[in-house]
Amino acid sequence: MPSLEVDRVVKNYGLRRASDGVSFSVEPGEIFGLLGPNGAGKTTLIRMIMDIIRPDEGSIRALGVPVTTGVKDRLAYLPEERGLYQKQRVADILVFLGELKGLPHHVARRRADEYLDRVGLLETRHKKMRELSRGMQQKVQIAAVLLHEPALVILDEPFIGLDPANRALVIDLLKETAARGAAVILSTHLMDQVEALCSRILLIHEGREVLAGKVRDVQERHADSTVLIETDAPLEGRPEVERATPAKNGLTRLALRVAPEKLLAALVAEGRSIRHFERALPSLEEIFLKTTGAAP
Amino acid sequence: MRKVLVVARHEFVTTVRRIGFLIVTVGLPLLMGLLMGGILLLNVKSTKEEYAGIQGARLGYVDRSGLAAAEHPQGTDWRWYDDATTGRARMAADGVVILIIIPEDYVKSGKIEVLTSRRPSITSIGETYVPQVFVDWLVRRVLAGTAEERVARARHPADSWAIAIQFILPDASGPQATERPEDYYRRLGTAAFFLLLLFLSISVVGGYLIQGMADEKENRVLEMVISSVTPGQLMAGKLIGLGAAGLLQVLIWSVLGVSTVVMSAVSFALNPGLFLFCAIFFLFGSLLYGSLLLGIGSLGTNQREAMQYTWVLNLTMAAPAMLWFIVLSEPQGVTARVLTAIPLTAPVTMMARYAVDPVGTPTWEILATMAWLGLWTYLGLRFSAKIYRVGLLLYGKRPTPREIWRWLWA
Repeated sequence: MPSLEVDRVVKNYGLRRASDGVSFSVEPGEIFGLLGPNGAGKTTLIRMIMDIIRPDEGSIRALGVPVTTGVKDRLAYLPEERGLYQKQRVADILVFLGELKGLPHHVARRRADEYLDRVGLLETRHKKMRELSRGMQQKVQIAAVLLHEPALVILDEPFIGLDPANRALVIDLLKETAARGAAVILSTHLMDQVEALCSRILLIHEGREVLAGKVRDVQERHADSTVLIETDAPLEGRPEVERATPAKNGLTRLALRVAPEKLLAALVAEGRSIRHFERALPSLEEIFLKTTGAAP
Repeated sequence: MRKVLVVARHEFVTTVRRIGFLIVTVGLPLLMGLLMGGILLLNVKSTKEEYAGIQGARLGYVDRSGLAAAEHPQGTDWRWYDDATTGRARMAADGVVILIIIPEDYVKSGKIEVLTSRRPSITSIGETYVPQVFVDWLVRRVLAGTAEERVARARHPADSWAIAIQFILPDASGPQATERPEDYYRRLGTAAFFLLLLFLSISVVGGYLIQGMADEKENRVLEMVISSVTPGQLMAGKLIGLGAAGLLQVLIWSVLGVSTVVMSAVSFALNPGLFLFCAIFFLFGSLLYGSLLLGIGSLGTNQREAMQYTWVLNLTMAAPAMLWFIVLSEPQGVTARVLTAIPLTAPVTMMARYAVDPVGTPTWEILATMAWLGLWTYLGLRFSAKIYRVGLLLYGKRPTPREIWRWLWA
């Protein structure tokens, strides 16, 4: 049973269609990337999944039941526009949010400490939220989202305001969450994180699905005749090669006029030494740019 | 229901823990007490001094009416003069502070002229400058030849303390069915006490409610909370939690102003039925107002804006209090009935009607009003939740009346 099934969901705001028949599903244990340029309808979609707003058409089922039937306790949502009560103590806020998700008081108290410890902020538990730096507040928010150990987690731009070390910490937390069987939906503009973390993605633009599938498959589908090569053969001026540019790790990126196999066969026939030969897949960022005409 | 209670406890605890709450709850009555006490003390002191100054002043008088005849008062150090000019000329030398001139037509007109060197202070404006002993002497002179006992009665023909009033009860169940005015006033007192309690707690709770919702908007915590509870649960939780905090505050104020506690205890002891009746309508009233305040709180994009909307509610709150005199004189009249039918004015009106006329107020109307208020509270909560669901996502954007209307029915 998928953790989330979104089926032909439509949402109109006046004349504007924020969601235009989007369908997708997310499996347990999967980290799923929900992508799209600003104003593509991601937040609308997420709010419908969380039953904050209701779709005009279509249906959404989470953990096997319609989201309107009170499955919220097993879901978690980190909105993009987020904050916590500035004048309240860190631990109190976490306990409150945990209890709202149905945890008994003593369990919420224990989990609050556990998760604060996990994000390295246990010593701040009696401090007021406003005494914490922005990055620390972000980590408290992540702890607040995960502490009831949800079966479906939706995170909208979870890496904003985090330094590389803390970003790595959050990535670890997300991987752990997925590893214990929860489905994780990640919405972010950081395409390298999507490539590193997500098994599948959905790219929406103007409320419509434009791309969907496994990251690797999407890249394969958008791959052109570009290869990465390391060889002793001179490459400039060969008839198969349109352009050669230096790439990372001593490799050369070749844009080809022919299929990559032809070049490989030719080099082998010439008896050249080939230390590396790989089809170069386009980055998600390039695909994003090409499909939507906008920066991610 | 569990989530409603979680929200309620959170709201209660965070409100009560606020420094502002403590300052207002404990500081305000103390400050008011000190201020009022100080003013009262000064007032009493200077009034007393002023009174003693007038009563103890040496008097002089000129009698043109012939009342005094040859019989000038015995045993006093009053001076009497033949005419006003002489009196005025010799006042200072004789140590006379107040010179009283009784004109020729005094018996007919009752007019008296006074000349004095004393000026009134702020507390003695309106004092007559004619000491009581002189008034007493005048009465005796006017009634010269009448028995002393009758003179005394003429001075106090029907003082309020001497009148025993019995109100005939409206149910007319025989000539015995009367009550003393004190019982009636106590019933009115109970209703007035609950009116005050309702007014205070709504003002207080309303403030916290609006502030809390504005804080949540400004802290951007809404979306996280609303992904765990429904807007309806959130609204109900806030209503209960903040209502409890407001009630606590009003109770603390009552304890600090001991009189209200004594009064409520007394009114309960005297008439537990009416006390419970008022308490029930107090509860209905605060819930209804609370639910509407929540809706208003959801509409405003910030605290200042929301506060502006609440003015309207406060006005409807004050209206029945102003119309009380009609309700009191005609508890079963058209005005009273209309005010009972309007949800916002119903709680206060019903309290007054029942206090004045417990027998004549139909039971069916009482029960129907309770159900009516319950229904409106429920609708208020639902509407608030709807407005909240949509309104909370509008950071910094003010909804138009048309949008609000559409959300309500969406």
